[in-house]
Amino acid sequence: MKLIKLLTVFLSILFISSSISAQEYTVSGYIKDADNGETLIGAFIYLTENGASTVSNEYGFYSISVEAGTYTLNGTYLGYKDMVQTIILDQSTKIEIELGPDENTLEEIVVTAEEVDRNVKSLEMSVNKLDIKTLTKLPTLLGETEILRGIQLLPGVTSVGEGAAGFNVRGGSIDQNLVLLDEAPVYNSSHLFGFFSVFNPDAVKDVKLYKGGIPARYGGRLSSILDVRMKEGNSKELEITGGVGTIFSRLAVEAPIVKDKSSFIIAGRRSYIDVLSKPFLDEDVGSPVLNFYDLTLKTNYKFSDKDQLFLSGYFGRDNFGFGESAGFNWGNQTGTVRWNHLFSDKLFANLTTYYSNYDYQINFGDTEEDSFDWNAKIKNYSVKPEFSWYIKPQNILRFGGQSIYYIFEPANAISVSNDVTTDISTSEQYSIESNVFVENEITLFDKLQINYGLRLSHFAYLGERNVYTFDDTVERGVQKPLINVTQAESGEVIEDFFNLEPRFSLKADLGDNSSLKASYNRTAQYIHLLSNTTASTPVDIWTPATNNINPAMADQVALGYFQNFKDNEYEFSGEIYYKKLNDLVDYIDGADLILNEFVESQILDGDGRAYGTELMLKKAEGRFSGWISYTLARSERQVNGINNNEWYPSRFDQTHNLSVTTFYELNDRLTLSANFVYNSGTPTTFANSGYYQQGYFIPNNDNNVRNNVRIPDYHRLDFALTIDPKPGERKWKGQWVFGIYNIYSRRNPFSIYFKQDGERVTVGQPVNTEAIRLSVIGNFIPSVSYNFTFK
Amino acid sequence: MKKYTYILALAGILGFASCEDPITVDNGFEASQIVVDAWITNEEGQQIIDVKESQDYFDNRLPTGITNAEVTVTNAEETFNFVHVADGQYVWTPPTGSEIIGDVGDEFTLKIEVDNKTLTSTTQLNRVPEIDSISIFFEDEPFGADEGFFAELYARDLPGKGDTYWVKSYRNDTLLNRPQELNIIYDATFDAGTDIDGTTFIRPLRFAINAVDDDGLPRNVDQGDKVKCEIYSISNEAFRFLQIVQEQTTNGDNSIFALPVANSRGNIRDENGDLVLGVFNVAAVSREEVEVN
Repeated sequence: MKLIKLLTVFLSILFISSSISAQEYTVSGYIKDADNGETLIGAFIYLTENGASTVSNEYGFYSISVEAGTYTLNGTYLGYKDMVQTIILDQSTKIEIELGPDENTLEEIVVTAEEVDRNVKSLEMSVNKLDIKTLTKLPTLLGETEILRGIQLLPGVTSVGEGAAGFNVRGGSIDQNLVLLDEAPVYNSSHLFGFFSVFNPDAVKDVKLYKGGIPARYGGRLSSILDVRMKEGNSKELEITGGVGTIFSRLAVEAPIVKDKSSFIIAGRRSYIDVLSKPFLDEDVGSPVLNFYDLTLKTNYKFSDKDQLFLSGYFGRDNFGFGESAGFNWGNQTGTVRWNHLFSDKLFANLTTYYSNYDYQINFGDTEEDSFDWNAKIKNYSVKPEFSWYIKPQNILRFGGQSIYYIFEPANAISVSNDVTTDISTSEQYSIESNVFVENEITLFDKLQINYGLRLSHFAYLGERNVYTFDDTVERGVQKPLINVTQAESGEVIEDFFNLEPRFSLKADLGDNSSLKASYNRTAQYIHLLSNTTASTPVDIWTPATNNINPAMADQVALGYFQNFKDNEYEFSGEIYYKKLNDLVDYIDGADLILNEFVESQILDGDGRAYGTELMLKKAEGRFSGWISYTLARSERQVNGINNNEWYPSRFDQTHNLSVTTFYELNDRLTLSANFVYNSGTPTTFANSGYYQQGYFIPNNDNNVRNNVRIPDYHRLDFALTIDPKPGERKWKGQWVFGIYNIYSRRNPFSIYFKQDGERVTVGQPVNTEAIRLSVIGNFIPSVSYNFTFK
Repeated sequence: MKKYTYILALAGILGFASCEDPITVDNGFEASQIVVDAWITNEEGQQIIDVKESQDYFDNRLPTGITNAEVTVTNAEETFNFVHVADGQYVWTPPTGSEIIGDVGDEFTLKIEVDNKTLTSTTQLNRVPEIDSISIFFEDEPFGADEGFFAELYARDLPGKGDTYWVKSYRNDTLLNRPQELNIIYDATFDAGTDIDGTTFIRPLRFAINAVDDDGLPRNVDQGDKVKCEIYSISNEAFRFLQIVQEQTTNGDNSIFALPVANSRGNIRDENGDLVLGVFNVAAVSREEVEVN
């Protein structure tokens, strides 16, 4: 209740500051694409006369309150024709802004979907937006448009290697990213391990990555928020888009249900690696199953000018198996219901409720006497009200809260051995994560804009279950001893945590074309992914903070300089950051993390630090466009029980990370794009000695060090040629994309491992050993894909 | 751990474009250390303990023996002297040929004196279940291998939690000694942390007595083949040791899902209490052999 008091005080202060103003009226409404009715996120709306401005929110809503008068209202969004309209503001007015395509830039690549000087003018720092249209022209592996591959071309984003699931932001592990699809968290964002993401580009409208300066309305993970918003569906006419690629095919249908009131989109993808590979597989392998598919749906209904409802869902599955004897499948399901309500022209409210589930199933054995069935899940349900109050153009107050109920089912497993059945399930875990936040964005003295906020988060680890208490690790490589077992009742709070998470960002204009930005954020994370392998596997499970596992905390400061040149044609940004991480999860040597009731005994906790410089130069418009991104960074860990308790680089630490992405329009229809990536080799650990036990030759790391050597550097060049349809109105528009990935066939190492060579050793003879370089992509990979739109 | 390997073997279809090349690397080897290889049994006959040196991982040679050690094993009543024979191999020979060093439940202490160092370790001789049978079945493509006849080891874990075993298998008297053939059992299953106890060894472990070919797939048996299995009782410490051996020596099979490099933890300590390389284990053994017909 302390909290509510705090909120009231906070709100009343703001009330006082805002109530001393003259007679004001509000112009508000939605800003949309005139062609398909999709709302535009982050569009810039301003009044010429007094410069009052705002940016449309995630639902395309804007609101500007000014004194009565006659104004010129402008709506702008890069790649669209500006809308200019004169308004007489003698009462509050609703104006729907529809932007048509800018003919001059019709086929030009626009590498940012936002207003032209956002780089400098927006308060946001450490934030990147990706435009889907840009992504489709990027050279990619097997020609598939990939959101998660795309964001790895941005500064500060790395990956442990090719094909690895997830991504690392500013030295954070993959579970420190909150990946949201229409606000529902996606726990495993990959198909086919890490080659493709679960996001269907046909259904995605907007992708925004927060690496720092995270506003108080977001939280729950330490390092980043990837906010993916789905399209609403064409509200003007039927539109069918799709594509045929090397790996999978896509089809999306969108159409109005009730014109201008309701529309839908349904988009699906299905891989056909199994179909293609069948003729090449040895018949003896049985009938292997290898496929993945996903389905993305969304619909909306506008009840009135004040109320709008959105329903969205995602369902995806990866399937692997050999005949009937063994199978393995995994996938996410999410469902989101959102209700937008306007309490007034100035107060926008959204209520989100979602369901999210990630689960996998494994089964072996085709007889009843011997079988093994295992599934695991992380389910959660959430309610999240949020309010945006557009007090003045210079002042927006946001507040709200969220509550998430989690059910962790680490293993529901039945083992049948020789007709004897044993239930080897591990206990479920329950918890509730709640938070409230308030965030105020204010412009002072015209030149200074700040956003300050506070998030109060709470996490409760609940019964019913056995509560184990483990002592500290006794010695390296030994699991923590179990010292006590008690029983918690259903709903009983076993352990709970409170955290205050202050957030702050500031922007100071240095002139028309440059600005200085600074930010600080504290983030708390209450759930951890237990993953001890180089790349995370689909069987990795999540665990809540418990009486034995602390929530992780991070503090990050960042400072940045932003400058645009040549009438916003070029954008430059430079940022430095320092991030301190506490209570990160790590593991004892030889940790057993799955199917283990006592998994908490395998966990060590440690600290981390990450710091670096990120530079980005972007040419946003013109025949020749693209960006260069460079990061100089360090990411380190310190864990008692690893590396002799000293700091060591994390597995995804990359000193240098450079990417150059360019597009060149040969003519109206042909675009050539190229992509060059260079990363420093990631650290790894080598065994330096070996010894024999009972004929086995056992590797040993004599000094117990971790990540003390680096694998060779990674570099790669890709090309793509896009052939767009002839300009003009036609029902069917087709686009061809030809690409070559890894054009000079570099065998970039994913890892180097040691093993004994293939021959069986004769007893009494020495074991021969070798070092192996594993390259996930060992060759150049050509691709062709065809994308189409019909409307 | 092995259960990962099973899961990932399923998923191992990753390799559409991947490749593995042998390379030369500098692993920074500095100096050798003492290694004690003391896995003995309470069976009749000679018992052997090796005291040797560790070596550069890439030396590709047999280890250098330490020849000046004094090696003894004691139980509550007796001390058994292990005499140096050659190349760091120390042997205890039963005086009349039929004495054994002790019975299930006995505690044993290993003591090695070498170059002013004293290495010691204590372990218990644990129980071992009888083998019910080695059965031969026709299998339709087990774990992706060719169809054919395969062997399975039927034995039942002894009731009571925490029994750990090492199953050694032989095909026509050849010890199956590839890293992928290392077969260790914790209460009938892969490892601790589950409720499995007192049941027949689970199917993947029963099946793991089959030889593995160069591609890591199980090899079928042919008519006339002899299949022999031995179950050794091992201590929980020895089990943990072998579990990490198994993970680390087959880690390459995990491809991009490799585990971090970890050292196997032995149970022999020097006079300062620091661990030295190697394990002391005294096993009870049960064995069975069949001919495929």
